[in-house]
Amino acid sequence: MKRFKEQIIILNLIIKKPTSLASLIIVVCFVVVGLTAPLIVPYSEDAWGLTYNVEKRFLPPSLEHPFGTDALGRDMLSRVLLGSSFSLVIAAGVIGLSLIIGIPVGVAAGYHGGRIGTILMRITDMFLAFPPLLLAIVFAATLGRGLLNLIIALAISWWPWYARLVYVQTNTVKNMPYIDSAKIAGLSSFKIMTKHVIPNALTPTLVQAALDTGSAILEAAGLSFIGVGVKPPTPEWGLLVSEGWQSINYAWWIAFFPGLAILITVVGFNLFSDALRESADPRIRRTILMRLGIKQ
Amino acid sequence: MKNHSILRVEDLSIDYIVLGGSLKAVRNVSFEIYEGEVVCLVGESGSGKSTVGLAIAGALPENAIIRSGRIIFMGKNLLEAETRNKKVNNIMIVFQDPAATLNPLFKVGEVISDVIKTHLQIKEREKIKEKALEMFRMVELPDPTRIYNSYPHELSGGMLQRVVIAIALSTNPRMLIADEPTTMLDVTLQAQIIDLLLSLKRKLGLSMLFITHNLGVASEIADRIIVMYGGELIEEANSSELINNPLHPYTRGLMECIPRTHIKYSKLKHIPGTIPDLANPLKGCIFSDRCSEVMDVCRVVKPPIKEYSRNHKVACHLYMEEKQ
Amino acid sequence: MPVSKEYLVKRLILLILVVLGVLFITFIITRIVPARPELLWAGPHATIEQIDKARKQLHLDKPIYIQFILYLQDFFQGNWGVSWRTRSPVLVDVMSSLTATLELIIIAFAFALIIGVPLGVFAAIKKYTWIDDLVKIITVVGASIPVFWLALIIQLVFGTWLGMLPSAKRVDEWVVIVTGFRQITGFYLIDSLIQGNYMVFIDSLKHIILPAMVLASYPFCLSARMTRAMMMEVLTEQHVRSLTAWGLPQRIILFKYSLKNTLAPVIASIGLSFGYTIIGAFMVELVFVWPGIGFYAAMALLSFDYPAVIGCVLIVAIFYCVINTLVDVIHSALDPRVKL
Repeated sequence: MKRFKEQIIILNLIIKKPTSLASLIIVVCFVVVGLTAPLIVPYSEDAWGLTYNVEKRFLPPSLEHPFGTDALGRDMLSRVLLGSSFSLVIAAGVIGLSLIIGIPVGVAAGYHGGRIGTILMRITDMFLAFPPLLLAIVFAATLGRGLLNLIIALAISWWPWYARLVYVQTNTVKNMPYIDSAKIAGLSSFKIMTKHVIPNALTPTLVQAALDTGSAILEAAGLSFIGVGVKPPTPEWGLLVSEGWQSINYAWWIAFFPGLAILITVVGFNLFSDALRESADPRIRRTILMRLGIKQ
Repeated sequence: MKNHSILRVEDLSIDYIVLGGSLKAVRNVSFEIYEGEVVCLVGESGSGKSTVGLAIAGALPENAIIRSGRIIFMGKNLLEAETRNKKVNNIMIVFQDPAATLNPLFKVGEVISDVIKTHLQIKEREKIKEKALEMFRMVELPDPTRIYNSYPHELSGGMLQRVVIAIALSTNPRMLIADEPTTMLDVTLQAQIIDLLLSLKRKLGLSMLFITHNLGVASEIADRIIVMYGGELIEEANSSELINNPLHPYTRGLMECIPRTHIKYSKLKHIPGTIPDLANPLKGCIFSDRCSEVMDVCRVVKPPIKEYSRNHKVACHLYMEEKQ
Repeated sequence: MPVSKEYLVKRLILLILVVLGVLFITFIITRIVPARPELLWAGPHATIEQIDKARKQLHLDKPIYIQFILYLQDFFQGNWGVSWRTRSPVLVDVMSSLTATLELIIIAFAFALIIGVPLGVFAAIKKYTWIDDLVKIITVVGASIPVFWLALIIQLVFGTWLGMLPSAKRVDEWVVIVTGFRQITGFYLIDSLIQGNYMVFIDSLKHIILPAMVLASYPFCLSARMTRAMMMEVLTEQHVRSLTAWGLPQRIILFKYSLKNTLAPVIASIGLSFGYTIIGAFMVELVFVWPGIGFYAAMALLSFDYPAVIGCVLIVAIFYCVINTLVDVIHSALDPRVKL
């Protein structure tokens, strides 16, 4: 009950701060558009990249085509809107896959420790020794272009972060007094693990993972931009920017709007994670309350 | 002892802004310190004693707001903007935790040099260092030159507190505020530091406000003791008077909490109840919910602090009628 | 600077382990994952003889563990294969493009820290005012911009539309030819100064501004945000309040004491962001045709030039490890409690 009250306070704080509220709106819009885009895009065939309209090539933004048209005469607004679906799928895929690998590794290493734990964490550290994304680039290049390959490649370079996070959390929780009490009370190791350690260790990781959506979108776009991501004519934002690059000197809008979409979405997620962190930190929360003049 | 007031605190009230409102940490506190006197401010955690000390030293944390009052030091109100900005080097403070007081990234010699440079207007590096070493010798630190070139983490707690005292005294202050300077130290070190403070006080003719939760310590060093409870001043008397004739039920309770070795088989007592809620202080006497001698009037009317006898003031309804 | 011999040995061992790990992972990716690695190694359009040669080069006829040992041996002998795109040894290519990248990254980091740290301090002092909010918004937006898109937009606006600055390559060819500029260290800004060649110096300075600015965006925002957050935390600490109580001037408390407390963790975290900057350089170089390691790697990727790609990965990973060591050393220089 107390925890629930805490969440209401956090939500309240987020809504009362303009930047936080804006971020919340962006995140919600992104998810809603991402889920419904295939149904609501104005030019569905353009969006999927199935058409070629010679007479409509390189049209600047207008009422009919607010984001203009591309080199093949396709409506950019439709393509950018549909791009949000792809970004959503990629982000969910990358984060989900990374968690599937990272959580077991982290929990096993953190809870059991010992030699297996050390070996698991050494392997994790080896992956972390790579500059981020570099591994993903190599994997993506080896696997070849494609949506699934992109997700796999990114997940391979992401899971170590979650493994480490879960490892640290598990270690912390494991040494809490209440775990000792549970042991003394005679709970089995398996029960302690599933009922007490994992739920408590995972909460921060899952929150972090949800907030990482912005970074996942950004990195996936980067890979697509340098040509190791999705295949054309997929309307993925990074690939759209890359397609607009060739004609940027006379049709700036083709590269501009997809990039703007990335920017706004990532800003939304970053601001939102900031807001969440601030409202969860009692010291910062106090000062926010002071500024807003909220008396409770 | 000259009865010449050096510091007068008048009607001081301080709030802390916290999540969910404000804590009225100090309410309408008034007292005086005379020149060359050692005054002990005694109270348990949350009594507001440290807040008073920090306010006088101008070291309140950011979320503290001074609601009312004046702090008059040598005829000037320290809370007025112009005096506050102009730095008064006549009041210096020694804090509770010496390890947290000193910046971990700087040699202690660097810190004391900056303090000396700022306050004593000495320009020459050698002279500053000389003065710093002299201060270190004064607080009986061994090997001052080595200390001068040490980082805080390389020194022990007792040495660090001596360094802090040296820094505080390096500006030739008239008054020293010691905010629980021995709480974080080992028992053996506590006595050493207190002795050092007292001998320095005599040597330099300082006035001292010594803040502690330990009535036993207070009785040993203080000329006068002020007892605070729940952000209010409840009793004030000469040291011996307070120890021999404590009036306020709270003070009496505190006295019984002091462990004594010469009384056999006596149980160590404690005061029932918990410290008061500072967000919503009681309307009547702040101690009424824990007091064993509580009367009806106590829950309704806040007792003002009144002179009971010469050099003995108390805020308690028990003594109101006797006086009248 | 308290750097012990043990630390250096430990770091060296770590570096070797990282290199071995990188070699192991790249070995798996390039030799075991693909069905016929020799096809990748020889490149597209390779003749049958070339593929056979690649097979031999990769020791594919031997068992896997021997392949790995020979792979390690080749690596440590500097035998990194030949790029079939440039027809020169990969190690030579990689080394010569590394300096171009380094020059870009160093200028970018200098930009980022020189503007970012003071901005963060300023925001912390003016905290909870509109200035602070503005700095926060700028830094959040800046850290969220896709760097390749920013590169395109900056290039378009400042290079193409306004024509203020050159937006491709490190230096104009004709300036080099006319002035007889020679490479010494590979850092054009330094080389031109050594030779007293101010035309090349000015020209390469002009060329580096736009890409360095774009590349600086992420570390700039990070340093400003970190500085602000750390500064605000430091300002509430007891040792800062004690300095205030002892009457030191605000200016000394802020810029002498608190700044140092702030910088130690900021430098550490900026160092960790170095990995992102390397990848950022990858894209920035691609857009600005900057002949660095990123450009080389991107070209290699686009033309499926496998030996070159692996060479780039190895050099970047080693570089990353070295930078991390350097950051540790700087951190320990700032914080005496950190003993290496």
